Amino acid sequence: MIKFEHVFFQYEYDNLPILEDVNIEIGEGELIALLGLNGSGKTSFFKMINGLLKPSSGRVVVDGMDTKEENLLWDIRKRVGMIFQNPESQIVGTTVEEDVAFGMENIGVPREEMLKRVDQVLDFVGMSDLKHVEPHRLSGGQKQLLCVASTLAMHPKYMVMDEPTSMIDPINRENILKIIVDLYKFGKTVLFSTHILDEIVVTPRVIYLRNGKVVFDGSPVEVIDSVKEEFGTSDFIEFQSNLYRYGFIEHFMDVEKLSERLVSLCQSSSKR
Amino acid sequence: MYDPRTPFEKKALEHVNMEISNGDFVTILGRTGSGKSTLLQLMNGVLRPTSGEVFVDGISTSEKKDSLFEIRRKVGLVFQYPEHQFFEENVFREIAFGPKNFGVENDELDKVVMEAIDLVGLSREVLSKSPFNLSGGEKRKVAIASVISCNPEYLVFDEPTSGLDPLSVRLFFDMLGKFRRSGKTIVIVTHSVKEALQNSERVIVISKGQIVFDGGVQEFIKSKNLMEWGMLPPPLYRLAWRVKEQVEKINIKNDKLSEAINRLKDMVN
Repeated sequence: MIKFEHVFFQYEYDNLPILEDVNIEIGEGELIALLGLNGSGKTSFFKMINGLLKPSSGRVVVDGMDTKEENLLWDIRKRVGMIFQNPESQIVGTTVEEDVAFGMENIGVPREEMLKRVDQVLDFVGMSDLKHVEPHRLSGGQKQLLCVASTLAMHPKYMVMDEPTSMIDPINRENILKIIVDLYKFGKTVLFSTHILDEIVVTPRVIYLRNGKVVFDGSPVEVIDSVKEEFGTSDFIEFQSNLYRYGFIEHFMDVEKLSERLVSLCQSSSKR
Repeated sequence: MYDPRTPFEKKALEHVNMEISNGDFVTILGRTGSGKSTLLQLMNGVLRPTSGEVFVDGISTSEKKDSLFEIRRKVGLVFQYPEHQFFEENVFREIAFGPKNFGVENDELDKVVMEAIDLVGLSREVLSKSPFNLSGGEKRKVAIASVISCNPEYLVFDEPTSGLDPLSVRLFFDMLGKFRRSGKTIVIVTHSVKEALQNSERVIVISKGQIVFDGGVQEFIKSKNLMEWGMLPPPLYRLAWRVKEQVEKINIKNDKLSEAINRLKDMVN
């Protein structure tokens, strides 16, 4: 479990509070989308989880370990895999394979196991055939997938992804989103932030940050209803909100599931 | 062509013929690596064509240096990663840099900077901050402000909205609306089919360095080739296409449901 207890944060060079009295619990196996306008504190929130940033006051506790305890950081970071917005900033290997192995080497995974995991994670993100390619030859979307693979190879318990889809094209965006859902299905705890509202249809829980404060925390349907004035909405979300209002759906769905639902609703409506 | 006559020779664009008229709002769509950014960079002479010519108001970008100055003043280019453009110590100086180079000074310079800040929707508090200490979205706005402050006639944006929150995206397009009304020409490169549909009238699709589509947005969304060009229609369209055929013959008796289905059908009819 990840716990934020009265977390306040501000940078030393600035008086502006970035996070203010954040109290939140994230249970194992959850899938959570973090929403908020630019500058609302999403990235700082995520950096708190693996101790890249430490609270100015309050505590962040990962599986019972306080991120302020320097000697626990190693253990915390092994549990929390971080993916940043710009994939360029976290690729280090000279080939795809080496990049995936890099993190594992650092945490001392035995060689045999390492080779096995490289194949596993590359297969998982659909990049097996690119194993020997130099990362700079990859497209933006492939680079982001590589970062996901490299992080996964370390078998983190929590996957924290800061706008993983914001710099890639729509088709790769769908790939990343599918991977997020798969990870969740396999029991990983996944947190991701996004500005693309349509992406929250896959999550059961949305946390909304406003000026560093958690102002909403609930199902996407509830949260969107409360924030659409300030955050905006999308035609896909609005369409589903209406269906929800009339009792046709219980929660938001992706295109595939929603089309199945609509077709079956139509069929049963005509039979009556 | 990049690196011609070397082993790294790579044709980025081929046989491109197009015209952008004054006051147009054009969206250029295409996959990563399709040549979109190359096309943009040809527009203000950052790149020059290996063969063929690019004209801006009758001046060729391949001409001598003096005319390039004129072209770059007319064509304001906002790159994809705004932080790559920053170098000044605070936001004010960053935005003032361009107009200063074009000879704007003192009170007039202050005015130009304030106008630019207001137009992009940044608060004046950021003026004294370092552009490097801003959030991603704020950086983008500073980058746009620093181009607008030069008052170009043509505004060219390379994926301007990636990383912006929905509110900022809306404000961004509202802002473009203002530019448009003041007679400016706007060209945007994006991945987002949705943004193209909502905001522009003309869409140009680039695939493998060639223009494969150039026409109106309605014509574009109805095209069956979207997936082939590497583009994903917005989710509501995908839903409409999936649902439409399967419910075509069903007589829906629930009014609210029928309303929803009709909305979908209207989208793709």
